[in-house]
Amino acid sequence: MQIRRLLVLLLVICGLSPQAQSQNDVSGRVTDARDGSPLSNVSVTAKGSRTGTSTDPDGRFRISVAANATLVFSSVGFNDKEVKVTGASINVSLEVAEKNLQEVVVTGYNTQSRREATAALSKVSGESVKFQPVATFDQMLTGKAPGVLIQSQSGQPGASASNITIRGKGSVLASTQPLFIVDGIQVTGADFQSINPADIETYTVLKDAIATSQYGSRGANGVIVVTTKRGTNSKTKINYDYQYGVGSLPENKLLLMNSAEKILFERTYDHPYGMNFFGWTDEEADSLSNVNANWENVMFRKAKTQQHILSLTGGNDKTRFFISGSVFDQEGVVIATALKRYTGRINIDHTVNNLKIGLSTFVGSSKLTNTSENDQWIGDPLNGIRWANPYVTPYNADGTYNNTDMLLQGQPNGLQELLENPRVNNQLKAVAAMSLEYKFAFLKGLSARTNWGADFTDNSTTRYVDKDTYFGSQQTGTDGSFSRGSLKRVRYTGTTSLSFARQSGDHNYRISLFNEFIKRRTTTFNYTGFGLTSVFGNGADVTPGTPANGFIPTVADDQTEQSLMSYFALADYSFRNRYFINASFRRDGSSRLAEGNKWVNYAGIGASWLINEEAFLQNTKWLSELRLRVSYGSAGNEEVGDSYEARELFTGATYNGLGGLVLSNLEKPNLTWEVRKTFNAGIDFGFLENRITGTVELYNAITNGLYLNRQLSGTNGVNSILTNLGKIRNQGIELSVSADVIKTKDLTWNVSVNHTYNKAKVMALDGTNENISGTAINRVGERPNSIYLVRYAGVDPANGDALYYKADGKTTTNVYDPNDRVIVGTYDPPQFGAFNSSLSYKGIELGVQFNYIMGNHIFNNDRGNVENPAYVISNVSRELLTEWQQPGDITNIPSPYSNFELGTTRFLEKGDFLRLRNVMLSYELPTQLLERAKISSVRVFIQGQNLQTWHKFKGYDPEVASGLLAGSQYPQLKTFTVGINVGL
Amino acid sequence: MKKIVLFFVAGMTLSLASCKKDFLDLSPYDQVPQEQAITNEAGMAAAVNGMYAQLRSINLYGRSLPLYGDVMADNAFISTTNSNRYLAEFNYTFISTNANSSATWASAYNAILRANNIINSDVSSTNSNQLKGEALTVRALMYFNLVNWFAKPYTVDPNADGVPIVLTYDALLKPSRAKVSEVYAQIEADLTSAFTLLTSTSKNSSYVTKYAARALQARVAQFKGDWATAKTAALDVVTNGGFTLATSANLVAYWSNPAPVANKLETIYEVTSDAVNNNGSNALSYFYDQSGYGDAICADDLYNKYTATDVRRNLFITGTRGGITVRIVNKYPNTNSAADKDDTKVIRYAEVLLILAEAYQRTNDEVNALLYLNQVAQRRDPSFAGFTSSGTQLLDDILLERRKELAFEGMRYLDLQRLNSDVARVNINNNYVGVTPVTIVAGNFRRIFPIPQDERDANPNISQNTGY
Repeated sequence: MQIRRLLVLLLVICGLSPQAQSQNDVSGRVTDARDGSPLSNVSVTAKGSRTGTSTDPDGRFRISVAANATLVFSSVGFNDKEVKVTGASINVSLEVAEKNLQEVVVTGYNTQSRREATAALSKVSGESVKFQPVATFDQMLTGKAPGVLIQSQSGQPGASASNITIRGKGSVLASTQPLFIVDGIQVTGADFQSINPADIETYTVLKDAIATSQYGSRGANGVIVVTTKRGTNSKTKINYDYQYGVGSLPENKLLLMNSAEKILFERTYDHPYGMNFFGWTDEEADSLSNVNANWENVMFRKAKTQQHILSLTGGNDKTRFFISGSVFDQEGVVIATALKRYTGRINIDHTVNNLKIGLSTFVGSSKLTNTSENDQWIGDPLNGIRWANPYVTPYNADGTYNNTDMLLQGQPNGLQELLENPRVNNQLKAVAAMSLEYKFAFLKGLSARTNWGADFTDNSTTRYVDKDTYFGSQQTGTDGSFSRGSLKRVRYTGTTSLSFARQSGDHNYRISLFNEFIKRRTTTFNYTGFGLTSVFGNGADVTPGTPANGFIPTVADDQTEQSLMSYFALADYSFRNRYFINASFRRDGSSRLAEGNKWVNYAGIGASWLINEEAFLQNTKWLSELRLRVSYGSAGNEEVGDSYEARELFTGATYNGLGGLVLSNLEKPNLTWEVRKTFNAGIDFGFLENRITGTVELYNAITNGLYLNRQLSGTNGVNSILTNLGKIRNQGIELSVSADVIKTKDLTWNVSVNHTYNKAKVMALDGTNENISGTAINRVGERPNSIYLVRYAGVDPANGDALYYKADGKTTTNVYDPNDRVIVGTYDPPQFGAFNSSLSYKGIELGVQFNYIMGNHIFNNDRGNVENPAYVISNVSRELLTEWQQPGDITNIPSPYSNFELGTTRFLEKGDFLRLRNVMLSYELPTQLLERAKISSVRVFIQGQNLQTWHKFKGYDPEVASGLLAGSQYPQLKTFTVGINVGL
Repeated sequence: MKKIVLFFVAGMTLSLASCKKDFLDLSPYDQVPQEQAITNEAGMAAAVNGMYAQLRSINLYGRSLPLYGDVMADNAFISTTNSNRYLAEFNYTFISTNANSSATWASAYNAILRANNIINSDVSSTNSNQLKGEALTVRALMYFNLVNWFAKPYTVDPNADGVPIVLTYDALLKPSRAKVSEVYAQIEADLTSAFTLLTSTSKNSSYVTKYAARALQARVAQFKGDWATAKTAALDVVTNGGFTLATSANLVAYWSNPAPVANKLETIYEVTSDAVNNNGSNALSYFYDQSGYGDAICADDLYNKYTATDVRRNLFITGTRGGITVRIVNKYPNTNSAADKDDTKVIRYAEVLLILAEAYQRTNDEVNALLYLNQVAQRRDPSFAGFTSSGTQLLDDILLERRKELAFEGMRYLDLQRLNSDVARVNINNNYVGVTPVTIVAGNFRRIFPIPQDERDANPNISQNTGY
């Protein structure tokens, strides 16, 4: 300081003051190019000098610069702009940054510019996917982010969340679903049916450990951070969206017999039940052969979907708001299944001096009527469709339900089960968060922030089981039942942090210290009453129970709690704005682990180097971006077992009408979380002024302490105990490239591709070499969850026996022996990806998206059910018409006298598919037309979802998340939608 | 810089203060941690009740055990119109992955674990001896079933591989099989100490008493061919137990009563089910009752062995299934009773009398043998003048009386095992078209269940039964 003062003094004395002669005062205003609202805190510097200032809350600035200076305006989230000084006043509008280094990205608890972030993350804008006709927002991310595999097995309205796998499954027993954070609050993935996807501004998928380590015990499966829309500093804008769609079932590739075929099969094929086991006479056979029961026509329909969304956004420099409301009404393709949803949101931001207050409140209410799926129970309506004999009609001539099939073959009337046993789920969902952020005046760069919020769910389910249905006959007292269930869950998240950021010459750093509390409480209450009188059609039908009538209601009441307490620190450092380091450290204490073992530590470090800004590449014009990123760190997976998994517990049991206690959980004092350590290396590149951009990521993730059920000798009285046994490795490569093939004023065409390859391997199982569970095996050196079956070798033409390969793979035998099981594939897709094309000409836009999955297998138990000769009394696969009947028959269907074995590759099918996921054609009306009507924008669109899927799976759809289709498939629909969007 | 540090500290302290110390210390709502479970008499009594509840499992007395005993023998057959259950057992096609026998293995050892937890607890109070005695008896009963279903009969080869004996919980234990004789020794030891610990009173017949342990001792000795012990134990029950046989007029009523009794009529020990806690459609009764699955039907051969005046004939209903006239088992008639469900008898007084008769016959006291045999036979058939046979004919009469008396209670197959006899299914039903094997010779490898594949996968020390 002393020296500088001395210098200035010296210069003044010498009359050489540099500021005196050619300096100009320049002032002006910086606004947002989108809406003209003022931008504060924009940095304004003179190029090539250290002179600089920043804009005030009104976007105004004043600076003294040399006459010919060039001013550089930069702000995080906006493209930099350079303006040559020509006069005393300069007004500038900045464009929002997209796909470049100034773009703001959420990197976990903080946001950074993409330049500063070292993490591997994918950002998807909510706007780009919000019109997809799916009920839950997770499905919208399909194909949008490399490394993120989204499998939605169900097309049922309000179906539970998709299976989302980020960078391969790092766990076998624990959940592999990512953590969901909405506006800083952890939310439950299963409740997405009640969230309005149109409220969402961005989705950010955090994939590598520098990002996920920030979430400690919850981060191992990756994190999806959702931010909702906030108000803007502008006049109030009103937006209205409407859409209408019609969905239908995809093609069914598992064909069953029609009436004529089934009658022929029953009467002329040999069965263990005897030929013509129902004893049809010729006349009966003739008349039944002509019956076309057409169960599909009565149980399926064209499913209509309608949606209205209204939103308001606006504000001033002090207060900004975003308000929205929506109504969503979706029919299921199966009659009587539907989802109705109403949502409302108010997001408010307010600034008082140095204090910023943010409020996000969301309420959603939904009513869902559904049916069970993916099981193999005869009472399941969707199985009823498959298994009912085709010559048995749903209704009798007098309009009553036809139960002939129940008497004949023990198959209840699926339509009756569906219509008379309604399952209704009402959900009330609220997500609310409030944040306070304070910038300390006494020390520039020091701020404190606290964010508290809750995810609240109230599920109320009712289930009426009519006494005349099959399911009703199975209830206590055989006269139906009525049950009402309630689930209330509150999870609050409170995060408090102190942050210090400072720039000093070439050095730029920020340190944040955090403290977080998360606690979840779930209370459930269920009541089931029996002996329905069928008068009211609701719970009032329940007959009060007495020991004499036996209609004693059952009541269940439970509560679970779990908590997580954490301390963590994040640090960012950059040098010359080209070299970046991010670091994290977190310490998590959990209520779920045993005393003395509750705390687990996580850490991560990441670095990046912006190579293209090095002097030696400054003049390489074709290269607009080249960046290398590396990170390493750890994150845990706590989603395993019960809330009290580590403790030895006893639970109630009743005998002789008296209460008892039984061991319900074994003590696990050493249980800890699975820890996934991920190394990530990524290259971001951009060529030709970023017309071609892309990213390549390589990762190597090792899960240590893998949870497995250590198989115990059954002589212990228990078969297995959850143990941190093994080690899994996931290695992979993610590639994404986007190219603006055509970029002119009126015509643009962008093409993008992403592909992921993931290779998983079991590294260790703690002493044992393999761990078998059902049809899956974990064996050291192989993929986790490998499929372990006896190989089917066709049919012996001589005697019709099913043949199987021995373990050696060469010899065949007609004896099914579990010792001949070998690994025949994997349930988890190793390769998947998507390609998108977006063409726009003036106001017309055409977007096309394909996605694909390769290399996995599906166990088609649904087909097994209809090829099993034990079930020929109900409807069976058309394939059975080629059943072996006499020596010399060459066929793939064994004789019905050959022992039927399900656990063979006979029912294993390839899961590969290519899907035309989405096609959208939209037209934005020219603004000149609208101005007179005082409408700022109108957009109309037509959209097709899942229009075509190319696959060889014998069923409706190959998107089977678990790899095992038990039965009763409710597939994703093929949907056409039209819509309009109006902005006022 | 000092100020920054000050603020960090202040901020964190503030956060910490907002949390209680026990933030991470949460307790379950509907479960009791071990440190509160079997630590007092109330907890121990509750654990005993939990142990009994396990016996109601469909893999044990809830269905499988009594069902195997008749469906795998010559008493019951599974109709061709069936629900696809127990076909592997009926047809003798089971392999090491067989679901039912594997589940029986696991469930029996789970009952043993529950018993072990009680036997090994430190509680010492007024009734702790009684409670421990009940656990010892249940443990013995489970080992008796395990060794008879999964190992060769003692009477054939006492040195054959039995089943592992596990008396304390150790998760990492991978035990090998004890000899059949060693398992029997354990069973006898448990029953002997149970007898000394137990009292002769209980809440009702769904709980083990002193004489239940004694009656089981008699059965175990019978299965060993230790006739002296069988005689002593059975005679003790007869003399001191206070049990009575149902009168001829009361027999049907006795069987249709679904509730446990306290009057010592017939039942020495049974596993109870009630209106709320029962196996529903998985219950044993559901498998016989034509309004349930009704898959299992009485073989004509057995039915024809009851004389017209034998009141036990009234425990059958003549009906049709799959268009065929059949005899339907009606020992468990409460399938549709909402108020209570059928219990499963584990041991009855009639069995003790027949054990005693057989023990006298085997020790050449035919007078006493006839005395106790006729107590049962004449009570069941009031018009019957009584047996007067001798020698092997007397033994055959006793065994036939056992078959008729204990039919559909699961003892038939075990008797055939003990006697090393073939299963000979004659005259199942005139119109029966099933594909079942008619004769399964003694010594066929499938006459005992395979050690479950799961167990073999998890426990390298366990050997498989020959043939599997």
